[in-house]
Amino acid sequence: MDIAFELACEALRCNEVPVGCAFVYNGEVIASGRNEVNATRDATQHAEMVTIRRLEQWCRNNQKELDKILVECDLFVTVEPCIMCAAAIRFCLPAHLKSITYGARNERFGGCGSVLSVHNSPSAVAPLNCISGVEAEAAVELLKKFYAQENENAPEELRKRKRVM
Amino acid sequence: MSDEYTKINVNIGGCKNCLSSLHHLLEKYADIKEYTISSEKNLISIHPVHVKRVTSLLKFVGLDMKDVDNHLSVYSKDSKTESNDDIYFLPELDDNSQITSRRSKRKRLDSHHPTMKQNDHCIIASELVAILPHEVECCRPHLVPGWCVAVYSGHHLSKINQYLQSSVPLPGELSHIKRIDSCRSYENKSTYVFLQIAKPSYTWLDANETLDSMVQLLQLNSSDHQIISTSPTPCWIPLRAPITRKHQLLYSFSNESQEKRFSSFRNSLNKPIILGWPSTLRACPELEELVNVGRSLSLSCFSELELKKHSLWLERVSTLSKQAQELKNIHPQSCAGVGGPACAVIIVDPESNIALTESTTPTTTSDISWLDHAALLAVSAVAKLKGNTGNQYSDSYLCTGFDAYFSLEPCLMCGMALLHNRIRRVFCCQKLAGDGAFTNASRLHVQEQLNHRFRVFSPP
Repeated sequence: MDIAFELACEALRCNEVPVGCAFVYNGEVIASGRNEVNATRDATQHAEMVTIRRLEQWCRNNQKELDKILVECDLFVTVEPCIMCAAAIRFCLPAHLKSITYGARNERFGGCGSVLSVHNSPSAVAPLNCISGVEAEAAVELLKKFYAQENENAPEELRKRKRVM
Repeated sequence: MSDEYTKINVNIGGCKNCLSSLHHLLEKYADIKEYTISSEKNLISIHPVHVKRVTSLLKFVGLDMKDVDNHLSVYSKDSKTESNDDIYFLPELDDNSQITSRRSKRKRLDSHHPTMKQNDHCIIASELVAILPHEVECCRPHLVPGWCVAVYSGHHLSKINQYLQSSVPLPGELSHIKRIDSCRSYENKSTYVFLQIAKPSYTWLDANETLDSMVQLLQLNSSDHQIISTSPTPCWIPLRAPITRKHQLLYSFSNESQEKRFSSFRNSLNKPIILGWPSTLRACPELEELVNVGRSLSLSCFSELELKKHSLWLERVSTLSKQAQELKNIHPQSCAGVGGPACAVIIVDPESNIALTESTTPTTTSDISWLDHAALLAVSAVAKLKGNTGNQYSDSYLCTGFDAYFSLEPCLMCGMALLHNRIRRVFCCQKLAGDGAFTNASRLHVQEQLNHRFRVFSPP
């Protein structure tokens, strides 16, 4: 989780929604990433999506099969995955993660109970194993700093494009 | 001795109005505390002593039930025999009587077909319908029990109305209920006046008392053609305000066949049971237009010219997916899952009717990702397009104002990606049963908790 928070802080410094995440396999971080929506102007570049692609790249580089790695992987993310990311993790990958550990709830887009329960909705696909609330206060603080930062920057950056949640 | 709760499968199909009328029926009318409802799982868990009563009530209001546990036979004798008003509200032949006929029940979800047929594509835009919130599509009248009284029409109705308004005012949540049932025709120039919602604190005895007080104070009598019945009549009224004109008609049981079918409902005391009630509709012309998409051309929000444009794009996206399908390799990139059909997406600027991007899966690139469904490829392509300075789309915000055409309804991941990208409208050639983002339980495009809503059209 520490690496996830480091990345979230980096995202905050880069004016991104401060979310960071990391895949841990056999005690080692093999892929990590943070929100890159504003940098890429692509609203799908959430931390989880960025990191999954890096995990796939790691598997290609190490000639490992993604599904065999996934079942032994734990995902740590500072904020509850949104509906898109929860659906990607549960329904679009070839195997299930061992666990997902996240910090703060995502009241706006949360897909693990806050808005929709994508993680355990009735389906033929097994539910995700979610552990919530880990270091939630620290994650909330980062989000608050981001919104405060947004307000502070707003007058000077009126011409810049709107921030993307 | 703690009993396990009995589970009753009841299909409310995601409709919040069904859920709230269900809660009302169990909690406020039947005064049952020992129950929970999981609308996601379509399940009621309830203390066994209440099962017999609850299944009778639910059956009458037309909710589909399956697999009631065997506890029913064990506890039927032990059911609480405390007095309640069910005898008034349930018909004598309650085994065969249901409010909702089969025709008006919600269509069940199609069975899941892993291999979907390509020729099921709908490329004629006039055949698509708008996918609306569950509450708009629900065909149930959301009835809950109440009391009314039969009176003759005449000047005394205003006195009656004023009296009832002061002695038993309607709660705010029933502001859609018209006190006097003046829209439907009964025999002998008679009509019904609504007294109050039925609940443990307002039983037949309370309603009868209200009636007696009203008759005495207003000096009503039957010989002067003012009042007909001297005791309360049971009725079932819609708990929620109608959302569309269709609901207004449904809730008032004004449909001819509806009226004939149910006008003879009687309880075991051989008294009539009044079904439905006239309700005030707060008109929403935009919603009426959407309801009429695919059903009535002149009343819908699309002109014939628009439909032709949409049909051309639907044909194009269908052709793209068929071409991609010929690649024939099993691939992970379909919204229908591994082994699903090829998918195609076109994102169009409707103002210029120009395609910004076309994406299909499977792709032939070597570094394929399991996340690279056609929709994600498309929105990322639009993002890159805007990243190039100088073109007309550089300053636009994500996919604001754009339309997306899909050969197959997107999955939850792709549907949410479209929401994050602020798409304006989505047109689908084919529904994705079970896992689609828009036509199943989730209905991402009309979720109130999310910060963007958009329109979706698909085959019915």
